Amino acid sequence: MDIVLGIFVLAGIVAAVMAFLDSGLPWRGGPPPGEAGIRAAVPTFRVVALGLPGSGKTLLLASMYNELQTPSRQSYYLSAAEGDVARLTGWFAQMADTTRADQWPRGTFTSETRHFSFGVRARAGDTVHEVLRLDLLEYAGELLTDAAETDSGRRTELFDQVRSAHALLGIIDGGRIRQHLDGDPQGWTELHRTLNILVPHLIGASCPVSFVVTKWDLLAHLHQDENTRLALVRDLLMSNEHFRTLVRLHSDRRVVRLIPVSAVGPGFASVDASGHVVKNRSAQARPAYVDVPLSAVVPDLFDQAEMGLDATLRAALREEARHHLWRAPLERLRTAAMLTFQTSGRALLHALGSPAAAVAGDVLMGMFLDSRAMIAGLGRPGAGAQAGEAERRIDEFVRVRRQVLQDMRAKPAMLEGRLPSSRLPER
Amino acid sequence: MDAHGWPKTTDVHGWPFLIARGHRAGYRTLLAPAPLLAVGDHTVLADHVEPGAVPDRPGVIALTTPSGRPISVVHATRQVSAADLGQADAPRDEHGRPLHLLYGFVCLHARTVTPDEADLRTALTTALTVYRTFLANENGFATEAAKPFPLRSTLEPAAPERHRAVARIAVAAVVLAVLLAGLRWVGVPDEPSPPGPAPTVPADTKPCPPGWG
Ligand SMILES: Nc1nc2c(ncn2[C@@H]2O[C@H](COP(=O)(O)OP(=O)(O)O)[C@@H](O)[C@H]2O)c(=O)[nH]1
Repeated sequence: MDIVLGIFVLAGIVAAVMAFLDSGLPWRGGPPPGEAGIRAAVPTFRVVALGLPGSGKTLLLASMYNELQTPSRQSYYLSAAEGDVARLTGWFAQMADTTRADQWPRGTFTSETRHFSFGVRARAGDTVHEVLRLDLLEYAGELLTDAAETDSGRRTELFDQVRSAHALLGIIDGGRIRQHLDGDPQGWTELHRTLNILVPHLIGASCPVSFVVTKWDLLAHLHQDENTRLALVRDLLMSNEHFRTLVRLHSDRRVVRLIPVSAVGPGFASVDASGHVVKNRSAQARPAYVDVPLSAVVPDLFDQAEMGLDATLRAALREEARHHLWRAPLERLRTAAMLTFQTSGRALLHALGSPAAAVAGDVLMGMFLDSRAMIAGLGRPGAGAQAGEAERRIDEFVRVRRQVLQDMRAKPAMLEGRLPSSRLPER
Repeated sequence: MDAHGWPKTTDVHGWPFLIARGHRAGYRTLLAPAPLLAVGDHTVLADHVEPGAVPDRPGVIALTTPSGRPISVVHATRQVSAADLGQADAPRDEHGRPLHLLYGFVCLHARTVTPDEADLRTALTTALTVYRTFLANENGFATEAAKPFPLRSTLEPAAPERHRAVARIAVAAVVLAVLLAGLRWVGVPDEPSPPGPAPTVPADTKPCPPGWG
């Protein structure tokens, strides 16, 4: 009898511990200072690009990686597993090779569904810090469209990912827009089909949503001024009732972007008489804006969360961000954790939406406070002469993280400055 | 055949399959073994058979269907050539990409398969016939039920059963150890318990280290 009672007690304790761990509560007991603390502060943000087959997802991914694999235009760069690097560089090389005008990477099979996990890294002196991770799902667009294989486990996997994403990208095939403008009715039909398939997935999302117009190079002839060109595309999309509704519903409380991208760049390819995209022999790939969609993910997530708070809570968090800067590195980690229990902190985590719970609350809070202080243009003192090695390392990590967040924010900001029509609806 | 219409485990037939896309229509299973198609188990092929990097080189994979049937799949990948379709130019999809076939044959029971090239060629011939029919009417095409053909490949019964049994026993032993450690931790059997039947411990599991339970 005692044994049976013991089993029940034990099962109860195990269940309670599991439930506690599952609850996603931010408190995890403070990690030890130094390296362990830094490693525990690397969150993963999941991104899903929703697009039909052939819309340009694979080449965007390859081109984006090619652009961000070195810190040439920003402080950070992307690292990936060896196998993934081989795949991504293989796709890019095949795309960029103009000796074969019609050679493009083949379409993605359903079984090739794969998570590309990128480490966002930056260097400080001799040390490379991984600041955050971005997880992108590569899949066959057929999973969104083909009703014939509804029982596919891959489809379930895709929709699970969509539900738990920190950011969603709606991929709109610029080639279809071109087709429509060239007078081919298939273009309009496919554009509508795309929006009718994508919008229902995006409309209920609590995370930031951006639309990405791929194959931007194919629309160069639309107007010589790039912003006017984008405005024309925006108006075309807004003529779809579902798209219009989505933008109206989302834009009062969150950022909705319209990002034009070209995986190959201007003049690299053209459309031949049979409607196929073919490479121009003497051209060189010069991708355009491919780094923006991914770089905007974390800044947009934070902005959206802040926009969702009332003025008092917003002010409280800004005040906290100011104090945050002046605390010692270890103290900053601790107060970020404590803030998650206070009204403003809880409201922020709530506003970040349910998927954000997958990232430890204290980590998110620390990043958020840093990013707010950065926007407010607040400077920050160093760790101080008396600080120990662990504190100095954490201080350096936090500095690098701030720089990365700043550079990430700069990319969509630069796009908005250049192409105001990239914000929906235009301000 | 068994009660579900599946051949006996000693069956030495292969069932061709084909996964491919058309000029417009996206990737889908165009040809699948009739017994899998009948119960919707064919989705396991598109979900898990990955294309290979070397044209027509066979790969073998063991899978379990959604309804729990073990199967072995011999598969290969091939870029569709102009000659495959009897036309002048290599075919492309509407975006200008090359077309690829993921084809091969399925053995309806878990086996260790050493594929014979002749079997893969037979599967390819069937796959190409089906593919041409599909290209002629992409929208109206419904997945075809494949018929079996006698295999030349060497098949040996897979031996995962014993491994599975050992794994099950190991898991049971770990659970038992955790329970005993837990009971000790909550302090339940502080006094010696009355003698009971001795627990059965599988012969090939290691005893717990001293001080456990
Ligand atoms: N001109 C141009 N064509 C592109 C671009 N991106 C993709 N394409 C074309 O669209 C096709 C499909 O792209 P892909 O990335 O494979 O689409 P996915 O099925 O969504 O992954 C490619 O083979 C190219 O022909 C681009 O940026 N510019």
